[in-house]
Amino acid sequence: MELNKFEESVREKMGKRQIKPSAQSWEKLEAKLDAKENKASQKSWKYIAAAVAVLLVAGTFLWNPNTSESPQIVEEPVNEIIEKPEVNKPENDVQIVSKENNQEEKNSAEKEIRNKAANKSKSAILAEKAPEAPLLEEVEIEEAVVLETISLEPPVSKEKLIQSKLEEIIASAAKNDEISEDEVDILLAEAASEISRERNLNIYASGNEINANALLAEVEDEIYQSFKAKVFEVLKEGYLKAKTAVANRNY
Amino acid sequence: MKVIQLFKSETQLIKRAAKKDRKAQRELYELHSGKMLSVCRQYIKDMHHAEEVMLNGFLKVFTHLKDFESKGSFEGWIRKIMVRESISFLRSQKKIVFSNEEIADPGFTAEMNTELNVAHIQNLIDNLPEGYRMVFVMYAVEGYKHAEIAKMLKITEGTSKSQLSKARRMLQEQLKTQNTSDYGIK
Repeated sequence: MELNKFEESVREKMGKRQIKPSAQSWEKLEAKLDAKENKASQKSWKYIAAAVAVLLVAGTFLWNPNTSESPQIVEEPVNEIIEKPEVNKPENDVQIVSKENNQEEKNSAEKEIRNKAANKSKSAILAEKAPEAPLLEEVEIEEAVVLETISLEPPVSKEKLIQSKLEEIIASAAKNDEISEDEVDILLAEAASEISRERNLNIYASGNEINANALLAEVEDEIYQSFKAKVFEVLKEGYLKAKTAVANRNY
Repeated sequence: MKVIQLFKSETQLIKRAAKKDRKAQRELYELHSGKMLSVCRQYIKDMHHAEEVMLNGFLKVFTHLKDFESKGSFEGWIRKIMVRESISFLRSQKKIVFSNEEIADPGFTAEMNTELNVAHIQNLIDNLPEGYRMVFVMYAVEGYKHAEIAKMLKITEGTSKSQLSKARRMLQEQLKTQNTSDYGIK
């Protein structure tokens, strides 16, 4: 019990006690703080320098002179798309439009609807592109446009077969009531891929000269591209590491 | 009013000091260094070492000010840092021995003069072995629980308790002899 009293007085007195530090103590502390901060900033400078070096290396890769061969690079994704099976025959959008205009004069049935549709198809490459209008009338018109544009694709002799197909399409379209934007996008993508496929065919067929050296260069370029990607990956990792290190330098 | 103002100005100071404002750091140092040196001195007999430890403690305080999120009192926070710094200093000196030696119970009797002055108390504490002193100061002065002491000193709670009781006995012994000698002088 006595001891607790003693401890109480110890706590009270020691808790209040203050000891004045020596005169130069703040200067000492300041020196310590300066040293620490300098060290920290030096460290961060190191990281910044490393990051700059990494960026420079990345830059040399980026501006490497293979820009002249860039058309070949562009071909890659296109080829991938072509590998997927396509239902429609290659046709050009512009051709569709022009043929449609010709056909207008010949066909007598559905004349009213066609006139309206033709006006629309002139303004837009694919008339289906404005399908979201909720009115039933307009939907009907657009269906008619689909009918026309697709019916013009094949030569006239196959018209019957196409007609039956068209009926199917119309039926499905009637089910959906509206042609969604996704469908429009898919149609556009198909058309684009067909155009580029045709161009490729032209290049290989009409040129007729498949240069062995060119092929080799292409393959080499592909290898180079994948290597480049790997290097970028490594650089990215390094950069992120440096970044986190810089961010954490004060801890 | 005054307390609020003081508190406000301290939080302002802390904010500025966290942004490496030397003036604010110095003000905080002037405000707290006296008490903190006292804290370190409780654990460390040598005044120069105690001051060195206190400065290192402040270095930690200022470099980790961002971690102080104004939870609890600032003084409590830096005090804790000082205690840790003192412990790690003693550990680096490898002076700490948590003795298992039995101390005879002095068989308390006479009225004890509890009205000791601070220097006297410090002298009594200084005479304790490091292990006893650390546990005693942490428990009696800083108000740590045995579980906290055990964690900070990396000992078991049982050791903490036994060290405290041994420190108490030793202090009793010292007080007894001092009392008798005081009577002798008087």
